[in-house]
Amino acid sequence: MTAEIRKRLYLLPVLIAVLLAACQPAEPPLIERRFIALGTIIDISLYGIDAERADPVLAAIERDFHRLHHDWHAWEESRLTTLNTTLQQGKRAPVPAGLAAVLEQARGLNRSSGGLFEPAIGGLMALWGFHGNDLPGKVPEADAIAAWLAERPRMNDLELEGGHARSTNPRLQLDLGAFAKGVAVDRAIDRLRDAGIGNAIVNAGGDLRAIGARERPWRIGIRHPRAPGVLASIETQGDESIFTSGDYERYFEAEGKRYHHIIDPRNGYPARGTASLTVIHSEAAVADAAATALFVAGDAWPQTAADMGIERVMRVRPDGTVELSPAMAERIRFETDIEPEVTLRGLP
Amino acid sequence: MNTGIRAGDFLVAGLALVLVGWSYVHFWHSEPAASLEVWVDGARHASLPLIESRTLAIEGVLGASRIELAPGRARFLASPCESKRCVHTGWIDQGGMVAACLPNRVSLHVQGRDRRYDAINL
Repeated sequence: MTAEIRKRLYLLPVLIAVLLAACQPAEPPLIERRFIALGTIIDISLYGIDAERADPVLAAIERDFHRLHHDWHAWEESRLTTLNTTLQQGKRAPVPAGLAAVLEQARGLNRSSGGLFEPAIGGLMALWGFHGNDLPGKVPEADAIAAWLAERPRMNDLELEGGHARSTNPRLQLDLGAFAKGVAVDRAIDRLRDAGIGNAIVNAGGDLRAIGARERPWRIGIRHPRAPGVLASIETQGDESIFTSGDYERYFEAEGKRYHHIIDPRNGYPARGTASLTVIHSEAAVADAAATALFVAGDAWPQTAADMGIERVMRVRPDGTVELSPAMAERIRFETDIEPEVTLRGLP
Repeated sequence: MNTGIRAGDFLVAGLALVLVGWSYVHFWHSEPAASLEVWVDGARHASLPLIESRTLAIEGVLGASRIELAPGRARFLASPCESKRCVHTGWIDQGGMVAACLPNRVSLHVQGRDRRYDAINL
């Protein structure tokens, strides 16, 4: 018997070798690029492509982001601030074709959101002190907000024609803060597709568009608005943008109350009733505008979602309870130890 | 030659099974957060294991940011920026989570060994 064992022992190293080989996974062909633009960190992940083919496209995308950052900055000197100054002087201002297309798209989303996504809100954002790299420390005077509301500028006050713009409201000040990231992400995805790259994530500070897949679907975590870590996750399908607006992104506290940067253009104050709002839509620009508009809509979000053509929505209320549209409920997976209290809200 | 199964075969098979079990536990069961990538001004500055507690200074474009590492997590302790948003972010503890001091161009990225999420919607 002992001799028999000895005779067979030679098999053992073979088995070990086979097992160890199985434990060493092949390096995933994942390429990642990271840079800072539009006031956030841009992360691009590509799957299943070699670095040589990816590098020139990634360099072009990085240049695009930096250019948009300089063209559209809402308070540092940019094409947008120059345009705002000219418009506020009541003059006709030339608008480059690229920016005109973006403003037209913004106007369309402003209309479909019933004015809740409002790029003409720049003056109010500046009043609140959110046009600066530092956080504001105090709430503006109620009179100043009332004065802005009395002349409330809207995207409809902007006339766009033949490469020129004019404003009929001297208070109109464009701010593409709720939109620029989405547009930039869409452009990056277009560039990747033009280069034949079909599996990618373009992530602008957590808001992202994912196309294709890796060896499994792209898996996106959604931050918990009131606790560290992830609240829920979504596996993307095909081509989807996931955008979240949250009251924790930029805020200050005064007299024990939180004042965040998502301002309701109807009353001039930070929108209440929502801690975070997540949407899925194929286009990042639409998802970006919709996340803001639905956050502002508060309890009435299902109507705004229907008006904007958004089917998948998750709203987390400040008390931690969650509202889901039926189509979102099919896709979301909660990752917390205790599942939150969930209400399904159908779209009209 | 006798080709029937002998006790030795069972021994080898048994050892192989033990080895499979051990390999599974050893190689597949990883910590949720294994390491921290530190990026400075668009370049990877360091990759640090999140195993023991320590603090260190990272030189950014404005000055030094102090960061704290702990088992499975990391955070900014101080940074030469005005808003201190990086410090307010608090601990980051899951693969894909990010804390950043953009004025100082220093960012921290948790790398989960199993990379549970490809990105976190912040």
